[in-house]
Amino acid sequence: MSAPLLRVSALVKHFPVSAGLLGRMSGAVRAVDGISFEIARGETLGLVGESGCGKSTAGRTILRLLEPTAGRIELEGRDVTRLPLRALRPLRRAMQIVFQDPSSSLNPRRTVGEAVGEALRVHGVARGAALDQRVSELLERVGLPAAARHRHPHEFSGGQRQRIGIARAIALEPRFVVCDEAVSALDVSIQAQVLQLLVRLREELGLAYLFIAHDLSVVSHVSHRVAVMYLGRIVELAPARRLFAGPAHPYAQALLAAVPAPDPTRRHRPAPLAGEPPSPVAPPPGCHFHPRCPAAMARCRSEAPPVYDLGGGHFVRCFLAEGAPLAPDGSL
Amino acid sequence: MTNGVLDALRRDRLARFGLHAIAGLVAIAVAAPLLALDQPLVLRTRGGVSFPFFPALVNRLLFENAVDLLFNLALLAAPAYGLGVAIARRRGVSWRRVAVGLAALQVLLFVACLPERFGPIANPLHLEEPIPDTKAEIAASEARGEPVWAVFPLRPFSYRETDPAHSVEPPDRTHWLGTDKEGRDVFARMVFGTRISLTVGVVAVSLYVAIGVVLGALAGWFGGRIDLLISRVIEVMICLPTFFLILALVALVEQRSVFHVMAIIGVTSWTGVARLVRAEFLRQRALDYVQAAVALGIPTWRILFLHMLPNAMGPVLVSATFGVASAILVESSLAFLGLGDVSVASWGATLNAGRLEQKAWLVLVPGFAIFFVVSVFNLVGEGLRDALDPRLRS
Amino acid sequence: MSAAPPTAATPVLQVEDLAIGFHGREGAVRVVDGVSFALEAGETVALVGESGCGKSVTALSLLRLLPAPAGHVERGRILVDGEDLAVASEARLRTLRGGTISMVFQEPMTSLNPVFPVGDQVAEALVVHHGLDEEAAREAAVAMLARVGIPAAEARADEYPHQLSGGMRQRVMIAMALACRPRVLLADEPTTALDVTVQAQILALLGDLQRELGMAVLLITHDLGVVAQLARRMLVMYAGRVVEEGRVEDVFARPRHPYTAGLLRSIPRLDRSAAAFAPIEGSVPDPRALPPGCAFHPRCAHAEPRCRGEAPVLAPPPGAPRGQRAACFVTAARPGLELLEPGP
Repeated sequence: MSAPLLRVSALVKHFPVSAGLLGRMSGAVRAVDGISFEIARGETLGLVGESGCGKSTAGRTILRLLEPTAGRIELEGRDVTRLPLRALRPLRRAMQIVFQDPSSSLNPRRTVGEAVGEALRVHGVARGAALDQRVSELLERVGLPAAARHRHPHEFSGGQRQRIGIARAIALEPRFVVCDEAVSALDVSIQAQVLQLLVRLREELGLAYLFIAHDLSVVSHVSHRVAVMYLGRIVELAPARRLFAGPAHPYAQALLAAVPAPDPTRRHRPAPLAGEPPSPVAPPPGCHFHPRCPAAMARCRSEAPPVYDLGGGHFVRCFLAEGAPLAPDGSL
Repeated sequence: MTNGVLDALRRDRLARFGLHAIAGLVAIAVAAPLLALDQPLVLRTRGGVSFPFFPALVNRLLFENAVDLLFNLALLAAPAYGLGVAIARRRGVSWRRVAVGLAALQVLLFVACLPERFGPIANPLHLEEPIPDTKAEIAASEARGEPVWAVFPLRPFSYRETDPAHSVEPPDRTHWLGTDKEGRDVFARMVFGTRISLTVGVVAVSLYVAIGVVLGALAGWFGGRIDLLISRVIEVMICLPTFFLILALVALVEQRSVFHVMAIIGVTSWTGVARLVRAEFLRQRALDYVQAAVALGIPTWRILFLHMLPNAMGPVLVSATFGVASAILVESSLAFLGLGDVSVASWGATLNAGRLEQKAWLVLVPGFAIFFVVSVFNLVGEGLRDALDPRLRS
Repeated sequence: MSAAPPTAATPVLQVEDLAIGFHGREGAVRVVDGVSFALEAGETVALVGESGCGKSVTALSLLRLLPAPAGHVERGRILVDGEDLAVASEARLRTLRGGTISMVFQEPMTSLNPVFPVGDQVAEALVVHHGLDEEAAREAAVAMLARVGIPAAEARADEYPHQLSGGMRQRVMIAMALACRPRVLLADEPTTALDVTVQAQILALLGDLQRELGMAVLLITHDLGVVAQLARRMLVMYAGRVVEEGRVEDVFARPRHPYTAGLLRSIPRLDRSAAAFAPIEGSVPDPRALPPGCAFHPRCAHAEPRCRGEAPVLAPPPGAPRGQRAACFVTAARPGLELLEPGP
């Protein structure tokens, strides 16, 4: 098998917490605390978790919008973890990002044409009439009129702005796109449109997505595989169908059960998960989830569980899976 | 600046008044020689018809200050500029381009006329001819009984023309605002002082806005040690009382010119702008559109100055407008304390002369001029601040 | 009002023909038009729709909390126990707000006052409405905080909003809203800002408290999952009008308005195949320039010429279960039309 499009190994991102007059470091927010996964060409990996679990930080660190603290990021077999920013610039064409908030992700003072076309010009892909032509094509591809080029972001609705953001992201013909809560801020019907657009573009352009979202049903709709994150760690990773049919980690189970099913004939009120995620500055020892876990055992409090391989690409970080073979290092 | 802001500014009555007043002051500054100069526009003597006014405008002995040269050139070129604007408007060229074109032309003219001591271009137009004493010639001709016909500017006095015979005279029909100790016409000095005030305000503020924007942007964008260094420098600068710092620096300069004053105001007053821009860049750095630009591989300088700066300019513009007013006040104060450029007609200098002579008109007239110009800039600044405040719009 | 569904109990809250207008720079806009519904004690009714459909404005108008001076009730009656709030005096409204009818907002951080301890904020309502002295109010407030599931309520009562997590803040908001045992609770997207596991806790809490206090809840939300789990009846709003109403089971099983069906098909579901997923094309119209006739017709796959010229009114479609009504010519004329099937 050829090298995966993206390989992330033991990625760590800590934010220093400074205190005192001289800004001495007093601790760190362990936003991403050692995560590993691979994404193949054209594949979508869903990354779900609650706010503060580090999923957005993970996405931005992979794109080197944040500097990784430790670990390794390989894009198409090439280590980009420590590449100087100048050397990274041409590689940025291969990896792009779509943001959550369509109002803050577009510069209010630049026209849509400038937003979409600037990267093409800067990277020397096109200029002049060819640039205009390409920008028009991109806008039409995401379902906007070519004439939108001359207008400013505030003249568009949230859904249309998100389409502009998508056009900007695919302008450089990337192979890999991080969708950071790309549809979360949109209304139900608009969210569905944008989801469909993302799926269509994936098929037409052979894109791979890291699809970050807190909404499990959205993730289930687009992802081939899904990773569940809790407090900086991936606790479970499995093919989407398998994960939703039978989650193995108690957190993934609770997360799935907590989604209100849009079906009034199936009204069930499972006992909701107690408590809220602890602070990532001082995560609990052992398994991060043990204080909220209904199945916690004594060893969960002191010992971090290893990763077990449940077969079929299903990995889980929980002692409940003990008995299954241990997964090789760097599986989650 | 977006049209919405301009509209909001126009709706603010006080700000609109301020804008009109500033436009009026600029017009007075440009047209100053037409209001007061001792050279006739048209002169007909037995020797023939001559136009001494026009060569006088670029005469380096009559107008030894570069500020005057700049404004005189603008006056000379005004008809050409007007024509250019009319043509551009008809062709639908954007006003930004027109403004840039006119400014470039003005700078070119200015450089071409600079005297030797200002640079390598050696006064190609030979503008340091001795000034003809036209008034004396006219008097002589009239004494000889020859017919003389002359059209003078509004007041036939230059701001430098001394007349020991008419020292410290109250306002009358000849000298509308009286004369000072050297017998110079106060009206002429007020009119030409407009040029000094406006130039000091605009140049000093442009200088410190440029310094503040660059340092603030660097601190806000790069953070870390650069931010630490710049922030500490800012804090040290803030601890020093600016006016006394300026006084000390000005006192160090021998042969003070008004440009020294501008430069010193500029290098001492940038901290406010730097802090503003730093905070704005810190905020914007976390915004997604900046992150998107980084992800697209846009070069850092483009992100800083094409993406982020335009979004940070609103508050800077407001503070710059107030800054113009305070720079004018500082220049006047220095001149009042006798630390200004003695060769220019600064309002502060006239005010000081009035104080020494204990004459009301010599105090009230420049005092009002300073009060007026500072007020109108503050009015526009306040209007701009309100116009840029999203809470007050809509 | 004759069109209201016939029920045995008298409603606690009855809204009749409500119309809300906003004055803007570009003139007046009617953002809610002809909305009528009734809430009985102990029942939960969901008001569903996308942003801009008028659901939040409707809720705010019930407490006469529309942003003054731009927003105002143009027409209609808001009856609480027979008293019309639309014409009540400000003084009367103050005693009703927080007492008889109260509200929980979406964003608990901005809805709580940052400079007062949360216990004081809960107690204040009790002092104002029930005339308790400070000590008794404090005691009741602590009891209420404990009831909404705040651990160590006695100590937490002295904390400030920023010291609490989002879920805890929403619990405090609920404690404030319910301190005076209101008869009607307006919950405007009460869980939208929360994580899914915390949302489940809050929804469970709201359900328990409702049963305990027997209050009527108007749940304003865009989340059809929350509606399905919590509400008995639902009203679907589009462009300021109610386009469909009925029992939740009936509407979910067989929507009679193409917009409702479109919404249902727009949610990706864990339990359904991707084929059932089909977004509504186009976007919500600008309230300043609503399309003529049925406001939904430009986005409707079933639109007929008649829909462009004439506005349909809410009416029971033929063969629909009792209480279900829709404002649609197409489903009225074609009882056999199944809107949830993948369209043509």
